Amino acid sequence: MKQPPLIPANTWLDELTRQIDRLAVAIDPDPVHRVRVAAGRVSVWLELGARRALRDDLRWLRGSASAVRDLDVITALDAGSNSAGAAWAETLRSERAEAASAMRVAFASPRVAALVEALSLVPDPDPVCVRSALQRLKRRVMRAGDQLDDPEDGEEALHRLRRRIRRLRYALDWMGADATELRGLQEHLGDLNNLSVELEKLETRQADHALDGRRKAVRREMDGRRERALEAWIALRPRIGEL
Amino acid sequence: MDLWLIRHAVAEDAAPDGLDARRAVTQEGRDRFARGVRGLARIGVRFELVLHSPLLRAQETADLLEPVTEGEMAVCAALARAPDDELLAGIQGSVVALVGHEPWLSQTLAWLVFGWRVYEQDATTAIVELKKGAAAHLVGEPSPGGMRLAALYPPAALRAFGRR
Repeated sequence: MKQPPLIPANTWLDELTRQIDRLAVAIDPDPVHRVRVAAGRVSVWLELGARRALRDDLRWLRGSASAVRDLDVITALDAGSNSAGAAWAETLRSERAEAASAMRVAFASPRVAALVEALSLVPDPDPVCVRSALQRLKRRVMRAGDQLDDPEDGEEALHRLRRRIRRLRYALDWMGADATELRGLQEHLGDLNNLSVELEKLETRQADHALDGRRKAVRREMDGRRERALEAWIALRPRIGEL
Repeated sequence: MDLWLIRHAVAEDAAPDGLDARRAVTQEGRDRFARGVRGLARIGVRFELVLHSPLLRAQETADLLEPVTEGEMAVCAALARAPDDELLAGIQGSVVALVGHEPWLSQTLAWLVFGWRVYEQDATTAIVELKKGAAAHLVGEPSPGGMRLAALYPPAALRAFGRR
């Protein structure tokens, strides 16, 4: 089977650099989100080339932005619901300012500049590596899907599936293949994860009864999203091998 | 701390675009180094942290260390120049590998073992020469003069361990 060429690596390497540059100016929600997406896509590109080096650095970069991203997501969800109150909004603002300071320090470290330099030196993946990496990513998605049946895994199994679906989708995107079928499931799982992040934060304030209504609403919303995600997975499952 | 200084595997003489930083490890270099890694595994080495220079041949050498890496890999620009405080600050953990280049690796060795920087007199000076794929094992605190040289493994010795 002939492997189609990958889209040019600089498509996402340049995006990663652009967003890192934007973050040096201000830790705004848009570059925080986009730097995480770009880092995830570049990490999959390395995986397609069977490269381990730099993937931990990209994970670290994504992780350095995750606290701020989580707070941005919660703030956006709360703004939509308008049910958590002004005090909670102030708590989120204050925590975000703190998380943004830590993120600024991480992004100013020499590791970021070294990572950008190192990525610019990596050649395109070998087509043989790409084929086997794609098969491995599909197998990992299937295994994660199988683990949904394990009641002990609970929510973690869905998060695992979300991460693996995302990586498979990025791989297909790199190959210029059609990943439309994955998007629906990825969106349901993404929404579920956002709600789960919000619930986790709300549960740190169990004593604050002003948040009871929001906690209840988030749990209800999560039940709906979980159901939709499982339906989407059942529909997608037989098609994974053909993607 | 156990600190391993590892010189990159044998790389091509020139990258297609002529850029030194983009020189890749050759297939033969890859095969030989992988056999050396089996030797490291055989003598029980497991890295908590692998720091490597950004240069492609060091990245690819770090990739080959995956079977003996139980922790994180991280890129470190300070490994692509003469050793300095930034390099020492990045060395954290109890079993750490530094994957880099000559003459800087042997200068790092001299600095950590003897406490002085030979390259301040001559940038090309090295008191030992690590062959490509060789490893030096240091023990102690990663500060100038804070370590002792426990062993120096030429690549052939590591491969020999792997065959046993």
